[in-house]
Amino acid sequence: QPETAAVLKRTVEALMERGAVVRNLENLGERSLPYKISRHKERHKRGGYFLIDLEAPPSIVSLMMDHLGRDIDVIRRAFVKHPVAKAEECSGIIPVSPEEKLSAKK
Amino acid sequence: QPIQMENPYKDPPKKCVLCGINVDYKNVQLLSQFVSPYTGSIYGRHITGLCSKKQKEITKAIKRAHVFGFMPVMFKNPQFLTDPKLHNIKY
Repeated sequence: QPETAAVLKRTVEALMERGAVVRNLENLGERSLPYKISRHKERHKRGGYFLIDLEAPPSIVSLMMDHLGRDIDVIRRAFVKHPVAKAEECSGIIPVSPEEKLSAKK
Repeated sequence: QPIQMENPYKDPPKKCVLCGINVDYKNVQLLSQFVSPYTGSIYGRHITGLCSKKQKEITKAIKRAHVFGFMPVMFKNPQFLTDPKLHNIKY
């Protein structure tokens, strides 16, 4: 458990160094992985999941992937864009008339 | 003289199952409901009955969850096997 804290601290410091603003750090729990992952010459079965909320310029992404790839304690790394919360107006399935279906472009 | 107006007795458009729900790659339970328990393959639109937007979102989220290590690929997580049936599929 102090090791995970050390890993997190390292990554957050590296991020701040490259000029990223860390908004939030969430722990999604430690569970057994859905499939065995081999990384750095080891087969892993259990892992901890962490989510870091970031604001950063896109040039950081490749640098950080490199940096995290060299870290032995990190099993899998990924960057995801923030889901823009919109589309509240999902208006249901609009029935399409058969003529429209025939003349629809493919 | 009859007034021209659109049909006041029309039903509101039918909503798909996920119509108001926000789809996230993190809630594995929701995503596992659209995956076969035997092979782990994603169900098509003719089985799930979702609108095109939501089906696209779900497939993207499932593929993301596979890659990030949230959801198993070849089967369905046994924790979520007893979820209520959403589709009328006969295996």
